[in-house]
Amino acid sequence: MELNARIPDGPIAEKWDRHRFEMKLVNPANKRKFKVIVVGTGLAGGSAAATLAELGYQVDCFCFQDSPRRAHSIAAQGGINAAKNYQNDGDSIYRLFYDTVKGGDFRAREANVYRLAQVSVNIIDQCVAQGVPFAREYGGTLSNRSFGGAQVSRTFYARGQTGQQLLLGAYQALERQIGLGAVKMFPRTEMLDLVVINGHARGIVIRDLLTGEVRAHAADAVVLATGGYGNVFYLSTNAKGSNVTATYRAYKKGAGFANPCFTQIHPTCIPVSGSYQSKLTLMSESLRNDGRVWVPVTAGDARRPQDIPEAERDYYLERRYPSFGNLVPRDVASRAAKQVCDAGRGVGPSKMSVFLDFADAIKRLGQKVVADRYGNLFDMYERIAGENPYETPMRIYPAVHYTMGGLWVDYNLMSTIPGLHVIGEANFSDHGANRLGASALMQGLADGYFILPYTIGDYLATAKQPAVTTDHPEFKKSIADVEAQTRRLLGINGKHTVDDFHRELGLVLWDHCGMGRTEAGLKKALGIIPEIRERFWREVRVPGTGAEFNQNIEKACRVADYLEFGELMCLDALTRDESCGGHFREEHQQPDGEAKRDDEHYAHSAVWEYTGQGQAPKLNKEPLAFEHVHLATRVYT
Amino acid sequence: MSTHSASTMKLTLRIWRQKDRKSPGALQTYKLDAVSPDMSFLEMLDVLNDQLTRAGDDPISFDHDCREGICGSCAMMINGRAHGPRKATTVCQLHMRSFKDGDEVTIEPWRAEPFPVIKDLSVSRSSFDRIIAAGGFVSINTGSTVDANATLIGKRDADEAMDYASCIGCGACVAACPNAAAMLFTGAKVAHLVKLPQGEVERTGRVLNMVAQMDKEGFGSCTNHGECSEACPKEIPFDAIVLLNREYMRASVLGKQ
Amino acid sequence: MSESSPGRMQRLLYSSIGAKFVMGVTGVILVGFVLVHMLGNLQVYISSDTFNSYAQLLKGTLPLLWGTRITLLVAVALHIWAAVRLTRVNWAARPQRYARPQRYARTSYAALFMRGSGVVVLAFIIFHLLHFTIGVVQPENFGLHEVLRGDVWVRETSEQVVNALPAHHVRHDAYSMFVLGFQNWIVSASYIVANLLLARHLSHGVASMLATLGYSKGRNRVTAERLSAAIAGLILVGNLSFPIAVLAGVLHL
Repeated sequence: MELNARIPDGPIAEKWDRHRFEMKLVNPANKRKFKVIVVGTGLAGGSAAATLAELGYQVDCFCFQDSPRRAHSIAAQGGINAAKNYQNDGDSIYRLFYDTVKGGDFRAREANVYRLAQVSVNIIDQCVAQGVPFAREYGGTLSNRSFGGAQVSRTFYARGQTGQQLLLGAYQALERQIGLGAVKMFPRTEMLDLVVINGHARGIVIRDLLTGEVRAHAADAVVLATGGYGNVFYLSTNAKGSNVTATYRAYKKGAGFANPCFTQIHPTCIPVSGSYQSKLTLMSESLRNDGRVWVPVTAGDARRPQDIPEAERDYYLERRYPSFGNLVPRDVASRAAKQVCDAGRGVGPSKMSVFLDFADAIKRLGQKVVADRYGNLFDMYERIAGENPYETPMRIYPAVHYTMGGLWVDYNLMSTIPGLHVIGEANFSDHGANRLGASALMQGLADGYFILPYTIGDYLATAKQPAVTTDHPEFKKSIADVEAQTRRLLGINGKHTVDDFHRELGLVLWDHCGMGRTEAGLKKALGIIPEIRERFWREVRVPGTGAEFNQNIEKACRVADYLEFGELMCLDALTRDESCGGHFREEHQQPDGEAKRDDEHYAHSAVWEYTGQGQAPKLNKEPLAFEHVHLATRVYT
Repeated sequence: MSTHSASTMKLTLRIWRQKDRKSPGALQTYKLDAVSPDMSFLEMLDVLNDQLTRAGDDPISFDHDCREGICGSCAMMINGRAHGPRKATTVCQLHMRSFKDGDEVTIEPWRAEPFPVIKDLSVSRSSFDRIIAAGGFVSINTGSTVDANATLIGKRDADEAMDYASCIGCGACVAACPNAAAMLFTGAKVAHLVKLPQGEVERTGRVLNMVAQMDKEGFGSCTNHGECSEACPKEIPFDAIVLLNREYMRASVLGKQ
Repeated sequence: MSESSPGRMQRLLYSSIGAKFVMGVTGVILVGFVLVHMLGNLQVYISSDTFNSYAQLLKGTLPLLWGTRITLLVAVALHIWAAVRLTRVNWAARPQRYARPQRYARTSYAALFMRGSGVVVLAFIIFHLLHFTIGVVQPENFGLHEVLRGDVWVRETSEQVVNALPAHHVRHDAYSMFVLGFQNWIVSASYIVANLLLARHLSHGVASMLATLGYSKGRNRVTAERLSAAIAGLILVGNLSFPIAVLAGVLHL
């Protein structure tokens, strides 16, 4: 597998400009001759599909939801970063670039991150022009807040529903193109295979979820915008339908999978309440701006939180990180919560949560101000947890939230399979080993609106592949493979539900490949997962038939892939024998418990290559050079 | 303070089962024990489906995705109310503590001609997408923009636009409306864009086209009951409909641009 | 490019919102008439002479009389047309009803019963016209007249006398028709029932019309609802007072 990142020459600030000039263009009259498949309609996919259609390409767009508006980007609460420096507080493209590389613990590609910071300013302009109702000041200008540990106010937001508003902007742009006939939309379809012909991605095979029909679609290029794989843990803040299937099946067709062990655990989620728990709900990180995190000093303190005096409370984030306090980056805050709970000082019925207390903020600002800032989040907490956070502290615990790993892409966002482009959370992204708050929305829209629509032209103008139709034997073979898998799943008729296996896998991964990872634990997980997988294929029960609307098959196909992918994740975590960002190997920590990188051996992206069913994947490395942001230990104390 | 309780409930569930779009459906009764008050309503259905699957029966289809009240996937009538008894709450955020031991709970899909039942509780809401495609956007191509702060928008207008823009497209307004009208949904988008200068250029055509599409899809008409905004999990105000009426009147006088 | 006005008109009428506008605008006309009608009839409490003079004035001003009659007829026709059209659309929009009836959170019986109350009110209007305008019901009361003796109007039961006098010395004795009519308890009862339903119809109708015509935004919605209740109440009290006053003997010949 050749990993040519195709980073343009020249000074970092000029690379993107220069690259845009050097890329081949598709003649405007020829664009309509090219068909592009876009899978996924979140921020990345929705914006890309709309923009490609605006440029004149024919676009076929797919999503598994009943409407493109429901992609999981919609759930992002907090905001979107952009280096506008509207607040005149010293922000710049360079600072956003610097913060992102450092925040990612030096495991991202500098050139990509710089470009991300550059186009961040265009995103805000674009979204405002679409009518996205960002929060505003009385004077009519856009409002900003500081978010997720940033020391400048560069986050734009729309109440606690920023992702929703940005997604609706992209969705509306997409619907406009659908109305014009430029995009053909296929909702309730799930991509189950990538079709590669002559080494180029030429189409996909999907299951029509309404009818069960397995169908092929051919194109000149394929764009995956299928999101992250956080649901491999069973419990995560991802939507129930979010899955790894599209990217994993592309991996099996030859696309390199980079850094699968880079997962992000978000510190402020509502804790698990019982075995029936189906998903976890995130509370916006903005809560940490005014909430104080604490646990009782004494383990097992059973008093009501209001009754525990100040002296017997441990505000552990403020204590350990005096300059950042409650605003330390996500990975740091999450690990600290795990440490106090592991030490037996957790609170709540399960003892697996910590307090997030607003009593001081209410005293200082008044309940009205607190309600104005966080009212909808407080309401949400009350609905789910059944407790009133104005009166009693919230209980929070970290949960899997985002995955930095994904299909490897070059500077053009093209995977190791020519013609297969990967954008948004689905690619291995610009966030390195840890993503900063409010950067996911930025990356999704940067890829979809401003990067891919240009770079895909370079591919289309140079690839010169012969036309193919779905009559090609590769399509037939893919359809047969998918149908065979469906038949096999339906035929097992065992005693256990799909969720039984998914939960079991999730627990193994959470225990051994979650917030803290050890060599022994990962090896243990690598022993257990194949065993679960083997039982799955022997004992699962998938009700219904293949020729109907059957949500059981949808789930079963996804879990079948998680059962293979979970192993790859653990293998990556085991191989990366260092700690960095969200990947915390307990063997490698600073004396104060922080992540200890090994830049000498691991300043690279680990790109896994599929070598066949049941065979060990091959590791390839893309070395990372840090010419602008010098390698340093992240210090937040 | 805490309402957590160890006690569990027994429920009688009457759930609409329908094989596919064309088959007739009927309510079927299920008994469910050991329902925890801390479960979400969908988790309660998960538990039922788990039991059905183990017993060799076909589990109940229902749409759901984010399970945090924002994607708008989940949709069901619970005891005659869209999204169930709790105000401003989607089914996924409704928790079983809103019910009590021994309750009988009837669950049905949204019912409207433009929302055909796919299976059990799943319905198709593509008609909503087509209403948006008819005009619920600002025609601005990527890149052809000015600086975001070049257009000043008063905080009040921005906030009001946001109130309308927070629609999640779940369809509860249609389900709750005695006439199965989609005026709140359509009005919310028209109102969102009419409150912002960006929506001004296409103002006239937008409302005419969206209403034409709304009618074409077969939604009912508004007779001002106000059930829609009561059922709306995002509490979109009834004002959206009043604004839609005003905009439509204005556009009808001005004619199509 | 602007489109032609017939095109606009057609689109307006055939859209759901356009039909609602028709419903609202005709509603304004009709409720306005009902209110004025009731207020005018209150003159019955002043004296029979005032009342009959008023009736004479209305009947004597032909352009006003026929202008009003035609406007009302058209308004009623359009109101019914819009109602039928929207009802058909609404029924088609939910062919399969909920197995368990919906539980409403805000609407009123009045709003849910608009079609029923509308049909009853329509039937009543027809009866009312047959009774007091055309005189098919109780024709004996309809034929009563007053004649001018000197400068006072007096009741005259002899048809011969009436026929012998010049037209401007004879007027319709509306007061007697009114009193005798309501002395029949079946007439009064149907009048009371119809007016109760009319008030229900208006209690939602006025508010609904204000929403449709774009008034009821924000706090105006509460104002509209209060106004609606007030107008319906006013009309109800006024209209019900007539049969009650007659039955109670307050108004008599």
